Amino acid sequence: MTLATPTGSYATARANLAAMLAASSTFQEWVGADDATEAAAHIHLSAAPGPENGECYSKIELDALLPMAVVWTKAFLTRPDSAVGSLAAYARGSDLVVELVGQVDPATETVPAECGRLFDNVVGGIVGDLEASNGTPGFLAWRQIAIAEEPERGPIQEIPTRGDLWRLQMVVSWMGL
Amino acid sequence: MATRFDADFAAVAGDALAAFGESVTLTPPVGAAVTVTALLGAERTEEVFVADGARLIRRRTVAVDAADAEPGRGWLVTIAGEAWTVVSTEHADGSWIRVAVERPETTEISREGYRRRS
Repeated sequence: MTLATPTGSYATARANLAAMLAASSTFQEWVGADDATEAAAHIHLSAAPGPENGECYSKIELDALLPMAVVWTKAFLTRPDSAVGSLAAYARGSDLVVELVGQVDPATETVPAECGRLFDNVVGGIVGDLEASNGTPGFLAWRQIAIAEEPERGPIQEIPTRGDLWRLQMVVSWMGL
Repeated sequence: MATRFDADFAAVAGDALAAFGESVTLTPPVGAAVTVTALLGAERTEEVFVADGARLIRRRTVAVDAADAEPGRGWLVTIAGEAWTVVSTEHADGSWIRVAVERPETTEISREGYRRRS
């Protein structure tokens, strides 16, 4: 489904970050996409499309969705721009979260260091791509990317239905579009 | 210590399995799977919200003759093609083993707090 055109900085910032992520060559390779358009299908705003039966995802549905990123707004602010000194201009910014969710390579599932290293390499590659494209027109001009915690691996009892998954959150902070 | 009930029940266990049991496959973390007849408890479900969405946790118990297999935490029990994970042993008296199994199913993948919890 084609989404409505984002208007206003609240929606535009998230859309620009999603476009930036889709353009990342590391992200494209990770999700098995040939280009940014294909990669964009693996980026979801706030939530992924629900299961077809309306209740629970089948393993086939999950395998088609993953790997993926969920992009959401953690906090947004706007305030009169003190540099201008009037109410004619506003400084805006937000903290956007990129949540990466991907499968553990089955060949490395019993070697935590190696399966972790492979995911770390994806994370590092995406960060490098976001650095390289920072401020490009149509993308976000961010001022900080923060990763507060190491990737989290899913519970063992979810492996039969959901797979063995990695999950990581990075917070991309911007000020001004 | 085995009770009189345990002894009496053990004597009719084979008949109970034949009458009420269902075929399941038990897969240990390491080693070969075995197919046995088990007594299945009623299924219960609970919706839980986690950091990356929501799950429907399905739970039930599975009781098997200890002579057939001795499942424990981490084993998989395949019932009608669905894999369930053993999360605890509820009862083991040498003749019967009853384990609790879970099957978490993903109902939503989203940011934390996407839906207000009722």
